[in-house]
Amino acid sequence: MNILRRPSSEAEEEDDAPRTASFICRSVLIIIVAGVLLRLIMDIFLTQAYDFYHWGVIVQNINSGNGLYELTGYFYTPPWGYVLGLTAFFQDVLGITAIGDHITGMFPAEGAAWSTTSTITTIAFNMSVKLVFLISDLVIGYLIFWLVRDVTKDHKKAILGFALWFLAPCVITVAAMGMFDTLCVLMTVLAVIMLRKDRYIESGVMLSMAALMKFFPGFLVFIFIAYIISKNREDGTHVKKTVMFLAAVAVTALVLFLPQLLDGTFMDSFLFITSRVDEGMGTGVIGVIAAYAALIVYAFVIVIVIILAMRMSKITDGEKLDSALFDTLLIAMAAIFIYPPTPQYILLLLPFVIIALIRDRRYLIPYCLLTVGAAVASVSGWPLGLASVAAHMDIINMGSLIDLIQSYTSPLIGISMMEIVSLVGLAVQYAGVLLVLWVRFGERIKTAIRRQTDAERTAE
Amino acid sequence: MDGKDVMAGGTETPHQPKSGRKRSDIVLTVIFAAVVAVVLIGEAYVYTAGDGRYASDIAWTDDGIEYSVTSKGSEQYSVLVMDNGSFEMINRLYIYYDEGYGSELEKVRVPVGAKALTQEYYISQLIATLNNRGVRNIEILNAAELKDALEDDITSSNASVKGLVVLSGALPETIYSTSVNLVLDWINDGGSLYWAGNFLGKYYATPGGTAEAVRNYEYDFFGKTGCLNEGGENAELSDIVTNNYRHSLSLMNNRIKYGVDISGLGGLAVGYTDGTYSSTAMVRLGDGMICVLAGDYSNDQRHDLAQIIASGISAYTDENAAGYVKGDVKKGTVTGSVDIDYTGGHNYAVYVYYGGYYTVYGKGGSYEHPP
Repeated sequence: MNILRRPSSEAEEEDDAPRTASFICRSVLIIIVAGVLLRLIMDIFLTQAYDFYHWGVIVQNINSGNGLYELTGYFYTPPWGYVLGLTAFFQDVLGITAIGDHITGMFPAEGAAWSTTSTITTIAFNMSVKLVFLISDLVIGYLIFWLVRDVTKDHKKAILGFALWFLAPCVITVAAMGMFDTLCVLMTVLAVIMLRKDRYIESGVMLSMAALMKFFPGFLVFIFIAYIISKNREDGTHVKKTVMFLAAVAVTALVLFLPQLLDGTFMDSFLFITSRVDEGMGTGVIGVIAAYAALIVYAFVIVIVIILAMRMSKITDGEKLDSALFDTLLIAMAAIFIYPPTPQYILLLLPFVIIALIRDRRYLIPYCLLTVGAAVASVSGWPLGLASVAAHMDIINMGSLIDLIQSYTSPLIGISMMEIVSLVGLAVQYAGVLLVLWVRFGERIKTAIRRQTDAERTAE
Repeated sequence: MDGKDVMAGGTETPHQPKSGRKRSDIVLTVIFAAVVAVVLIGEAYVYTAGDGRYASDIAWTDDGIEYSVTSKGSEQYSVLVMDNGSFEMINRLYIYYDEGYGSELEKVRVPVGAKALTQEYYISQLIATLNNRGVRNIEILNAAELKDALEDDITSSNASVKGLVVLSGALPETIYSTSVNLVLDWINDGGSLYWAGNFLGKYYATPGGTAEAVRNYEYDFFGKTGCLNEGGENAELSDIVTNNYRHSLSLMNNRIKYGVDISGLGGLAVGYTDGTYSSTAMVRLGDGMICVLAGDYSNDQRHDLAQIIASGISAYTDENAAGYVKGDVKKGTVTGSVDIDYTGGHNYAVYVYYGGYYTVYGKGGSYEHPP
C-alpha cells in the first residue's frame, strides 16, 4: 500500500489506527483471564516459605515502628520495603490479622534445603502480597503491548507481545514463589518508554527506582545517556537534557534513601550485595573464585555497556537510533546474565527478548529456553512451596508433605531430586541466555571465521 | 550498530494525530504516577505506621480482668494471665556487655544479606524488641559496672525486682569465677538471670579471653550435675504439653542444645522439648530464678527471650495459666474480660501482646489479690 498516493490526512488516520488501537479487545481479555486463572492456582498452592517468612518479618517491623533496617529482616535497598509497606496498609484495610504461624510439624523439614523455616505465612497474607505482583505483571504486559504497537504499528503483534509476557511460565512461577522482580521489570520498561518519548525526568525517576529495586538496571544508565545525547545533539540540547536525566536519577535515589540517611541505617541497605561477596570470600577457593567471578563479569559488562553506548551515541538517524536502543538493551541485559543468574533475574531480560522475537523469529528458541528453564528452576523446591497450604488449609496433610520433602531433598546418588531439577532448569535458562547472544552475533562470528579461513586458504 | 538489528521502527513521529497520542500519553502518565505513588506512599507509611498504632488497658475486678485492646491496624491479640506465685515482676533490666572481656559463642549462620549475629548486634536487636513489648528500663553494664550493680542490689535488698541478661557465653570474672560467687548470691537474694549462648557457668570471662570453670559449674547453678544438654543439634522436638505457654506466648525457639532438664529442679519449662531438655527452662534458686534459653543465637531465640522477660513468666509461675484469650482487633478497640479463680494464688502477671508469632506490641503488668 502506497500511502503517498492518497491525501495526507487519510494516510495519517490509517497509519494511526494500529498505533492507537485499543488495548482491550477479545484476544487480550482471553489472555488476561487465562493468565489470572493460572496465577491464582499457582499463587494459592506455591509459596517460597522462606522468602514470605521474611516479607512477614518486614511487615512486622514496619507495624512495630522499627522501619526497614532497625530490626533485622530486610536486606535489600529500600523500594521493595516501601511497596511492602503499602501492602501492609492494605492488609490493615482488608482486615488480615494473621501473618503466619510457627508450625511444629514443619521442624523435620528444617535443614532440608538452604532456605527453610517452620514459620509459615497464611494464605491471606501470601495472596495480599502476590496481588501486587499480578497487577505489576499486567501493567508490564500493557507496556510491552504499547511498545510493540508503537514500533511495529501492528496491533496483532502488540497483542502477541502482551501474551508472550503475561503467559510466560517463568513470569507466573517467579511471582507465585514470591520474588518481586516483576516490579523491577515494570520500572525498567517504563523508563525505556519514557526515554523514547523524550520524557527524560520521568525516565530517570523510573531507572533510579528500578536500579534500587534490583541493581541490574543500573548498568543501563550509560545506554540511556547515549540515547539522550544522540537524539538531542542536533539541536544542541543534549547536555541540558542529560543533566536533567541524571538529576532525576540522583534526586530519586536521595528521596528513597532519605529515611536511612536520617536514621543512620544507610549502609545496612547494601548488605544484600556486600554480604554475598563476604560469603563467597569465606568459603574456600571456589567461594573466592565465585565471588570474584561475579565482580569480574560485572566489570566486564560495564565495559561492554560503555562501548555499546559510545557506538550508539554516534547515531544521528532517528529510526536507526530507536532500533539501536532495543538492540543495545538486549545485548546489555544478556551480557549481564553471562554470570549465571537466579531464575527470577531472567524476568529483566525477557521484555527485550520478546520485542526482538516480534521482529525476528530466531529468538523463539531462546525465549522458550529462558521462560521454561527459569520456570523449572524457580519451582524446583515445589514440595517446600506447599507448606502454606499444608499448614493453613485442610488439603494436604503435613505429615505426608514432610515425607515428600524429605524424599525429594535427600540425596539419591549424591545429589537430590530437588538439586537435579534445579540444575536442569538453570542449565536450560542459561542456554537461553547464551542463545540470545548467539542469535544476535552468531552470523557475524560465522562470517568472520569464514573470512579468516578463506584468507588463510588464499595465503596457502 | 553491527549485525542485524532486532527492531525496526521509530519513535513518535510528527504526523501522529494528537488525539491518539494524547490518550496514549495519559495512560503512560497515569502508570508513571501510580508507580511513583506506590513507592512514595509506601515510604511514608513505613516510617510513620508505628506511631501511636497500638494501646491496651487492663482493669482488675473481683471476677478477673477487663481488657481493652486498640489498634490502628489489623492484628491478632492475646491476653495471658498467670499466677506468678512469689515472683515479683522485674522493673529494671541489666544487660551485660563488655568488649574488653572474652566471650564463648558459636558463630551462627544468618540469611544472605543479614548482619552477622554478634553479641553486640544481638543486644541492640534485643533492646529494640523489648522496647516494642513495653520493657524500657534497660541498662547495658560492663563487667565492673555489673559487679557494682549486683552488690548494690544485695545491699539494698532490691535484687528481686532486677533482671540480668547475659549473652556472652561466659559470665565476667567480676561476678563469677572459681573464687567469686557474686551472681549466685544475687540470684539467691531474688535476682533473675536470663542466659543464652552456651553452657551456663562453664566459662568465665577475663579481660584477656575466657577460662573454663574448674569446679562443677552445673552444681553451682542447679545443685546437681548432668542437667545441661551437650547434644541436641538435630533432635526431634515436640511442644511441651504440661503447659500451654508455647502457644499462649507464641514461643518459636526450637533448639535444645545447652538446654536444661528441669526434672528434680523446681521450676517451669516452656516451648519445645525432646522429652528431657527444653528450649526455655526457668529454675528456682534461693529467692531468685535462672532462665536458660537453649541453642546458639537466633532471631527466634531473641523473640522468645523478649516474650519471657516482658510477660513476667517465671520459675514460680503456675503450669496452668490463670486465663488466656486470643482474638482479632481491626482498626479500632476491642474490649473483653477474663475470669480468674483467685483461690489459687494472690500474685498475678498479665501480658497483652499483638501479632502472635510476628509480635509487634506487648505490655506486661502484675497485680496482687486482694490488693
